Amino acid sequence: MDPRDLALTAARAVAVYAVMLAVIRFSGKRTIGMFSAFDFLVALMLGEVVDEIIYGSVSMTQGFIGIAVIGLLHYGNSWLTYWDHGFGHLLEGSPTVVLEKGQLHYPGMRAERMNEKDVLSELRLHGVDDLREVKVAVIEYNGQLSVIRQDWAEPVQKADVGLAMEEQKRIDTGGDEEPMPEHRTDSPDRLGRTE
Amino acid sequence: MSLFGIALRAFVAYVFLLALIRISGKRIVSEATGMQFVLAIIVGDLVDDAIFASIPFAQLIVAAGTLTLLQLTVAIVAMLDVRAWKILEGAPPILLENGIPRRGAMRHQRINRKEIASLLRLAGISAARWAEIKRARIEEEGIVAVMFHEWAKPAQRNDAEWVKARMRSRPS
Repeated sequence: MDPRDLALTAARAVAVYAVMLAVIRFSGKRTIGMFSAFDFLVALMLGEVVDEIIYGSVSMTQGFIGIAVIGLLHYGNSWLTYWDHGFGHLLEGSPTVVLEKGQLHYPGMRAERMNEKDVLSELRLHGVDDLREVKVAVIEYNGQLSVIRQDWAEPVQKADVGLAMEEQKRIDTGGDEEPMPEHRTDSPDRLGRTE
Repeated sequence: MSLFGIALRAFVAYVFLLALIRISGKRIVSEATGMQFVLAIIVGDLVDDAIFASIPFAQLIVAAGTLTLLQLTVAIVAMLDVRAWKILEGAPPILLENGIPRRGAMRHQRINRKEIASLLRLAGISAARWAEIKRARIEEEGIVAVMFHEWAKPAQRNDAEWVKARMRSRPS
């Protein structure tokens, strides 16, 4: 092995590092990583392209054009999803309700190809073994299960036991605990539930 | 291509990567910022060509070594200097303040209201409880750190003591 080749490899690695750092910083917290299943795939795709560049099996220009196109597509995709004119639903899917008011929601489970055992296993990871404690459980954009407990099953807060804290809560929320109905993004019909 | 050669190279590659990870410290993979995550993928992809001898093994060592060294350097610079940290890693953006989503941060990160709701649900907070939140930041990809108002923090032992003391003092 020629030491010049090795030096070239190192130089290409440095260039690739700089480019990838720029791509990631440019794309913000959401684009590369684990926000949705597809973000994860994009990260894998970029990684695969990059190793060919480092080894010099493809030229720098070819490799960086590949990276640029994937990066720009994903950047555009993130804006389309952000504006949310129906594209988000198409590109990212939407959260699926699998459990509601202590009852398994079978259409949602079918849409996510989950059976009772899968749901129960996910719930146990959240420390729930009694379904009645759960107000709503949702498979989110990133494929993880989120669990919202019934009001009576929520942990006790300082405002529940101390008068001074209760007063502060009243001041901070303006005595109005529930947000306006259109803000209630957790209500099942807002989630585009599968029926 | 001899089968023994593949086994030998796979063995050496395994030990080499193990050494790289041990040198660079646990945080390099477990605290997965975007860059560290992508780097882990890249290094993983570098290995397969070397195992099947489509490239010389020395090239793998140089490439993976350079990347790790760079990442270490960046991590150290970001640790020492706040300005460099902001440029290289980016400060965790505040998405929600006093229960209200911040438009600027949302646009900047291209995270819409539905996605904030999704992230907060993953933290066990329904939209009805947003008013309890003092600040919510995106710390890493897909993970929010939620800071509650004082009154919405979990009750602690000393809060229960206060209730007990009142019950005791009540004439029965």
